[in-house]
Amino acid sequence: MNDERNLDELLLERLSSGEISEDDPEVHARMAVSPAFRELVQGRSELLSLLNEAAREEHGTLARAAELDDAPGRGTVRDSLERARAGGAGARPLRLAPFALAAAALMALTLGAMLMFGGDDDPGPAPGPLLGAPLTLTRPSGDVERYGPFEWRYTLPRGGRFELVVHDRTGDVEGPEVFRRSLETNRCELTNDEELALPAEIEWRVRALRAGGEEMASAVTSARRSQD
Amino acid sequence: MPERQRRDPPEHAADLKLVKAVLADRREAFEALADRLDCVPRIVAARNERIGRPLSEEELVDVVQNTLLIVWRKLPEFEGRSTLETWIYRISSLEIMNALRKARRRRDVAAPPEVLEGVADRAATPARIEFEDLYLGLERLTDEERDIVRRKHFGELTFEAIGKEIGLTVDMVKSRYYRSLAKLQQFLASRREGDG
Repeated sequence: MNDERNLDELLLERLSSGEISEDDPEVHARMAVSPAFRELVQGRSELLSLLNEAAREEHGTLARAAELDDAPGRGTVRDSLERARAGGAGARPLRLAPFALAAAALMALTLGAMLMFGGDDDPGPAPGPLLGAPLTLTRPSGDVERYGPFEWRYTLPRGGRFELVVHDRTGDVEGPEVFRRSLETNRCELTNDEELALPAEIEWRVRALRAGGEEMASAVTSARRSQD
Repeated sequence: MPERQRRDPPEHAADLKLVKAVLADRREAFEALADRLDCVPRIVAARNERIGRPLSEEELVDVVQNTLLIVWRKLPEFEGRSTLETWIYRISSLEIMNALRKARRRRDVAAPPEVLEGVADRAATPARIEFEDLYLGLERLTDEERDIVRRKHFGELTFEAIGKEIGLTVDMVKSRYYRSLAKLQQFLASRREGDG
């Protein structure tokens, strides 16, 4: 079964690189006996078309943009940037609809009540990420001597947690999951045994999850341990 | 492990240098960046035009301001793997999709059905959504994988040329490229299943 899968993947790679076409007899023969391979080829072909179409759209849009003399918002660029430079997240001009103003007022009242009536031992809810701030993986990344500790930046809401998953990236194929941990902190320490058990090249992903398990943000990067 | 030598095109390196100078708080660099970001409203307007002008002028101004804010916040993440304009295109494309969703929701509430046909729905063809999913899928790849896929399809480079530019052997580029395609294919399939 694994041999057949490897055969499918090798054939698919040759097909994706343009080395052979879908009309190649070898491809036809394999498609005739393997519905799974036929599905893979169809999906891959659709993906390559989509990538090429998106590339054409990007080139076309950038070419058209270069031709435009005027566009809505053109006079606001420098001001918006100055505000962003001076104030970060508060940079965007407030253009709130009435329901948004009402929601903001309600939120202010709720926060005020929490400050007035909250107990000293209750710090209140942890602040959520501002304006969908991204989850940033800080280490390990690129060539490192040691993977651990894994560190990232993100502010979780109360009850939220992080899920760290590490995959083996050694070799030509997508490797198996080799490590997983659920955490409430932005750091994951590894024991020596855990460190040594990780392969020479890894890909690691962190997902920030709300209390109910809904994903709020995620990021992925790779690292290689140079001593291996 | 040998040190990898990236050889990005000179215009990418120049853009990275500009961004680093802005992050170092050099005023003249900030002025130069402000001039370059004049492309944001034009890219947003051009994209809106190409998908049938579904967004109003006011909505476009909002997209421009949101895009500028995100660009500013993400500047430390710019690695010079493309020109600033190409990097901004990706950010503004996702912002336009967000604006379209908001506009559709607003018009669902505020406008009679005959107004909706002809405005919001023009931009909601499956192909547009697929582009959004594709960009989201690209965002889920590692920086290196995304870089390789973009150089191959958007930059129309050969595996050999990509290898030379990013300091990897052809076999390494190919294996990362195939792995990226498999990941993208899996991601798109999961999005379709989620829709169904």
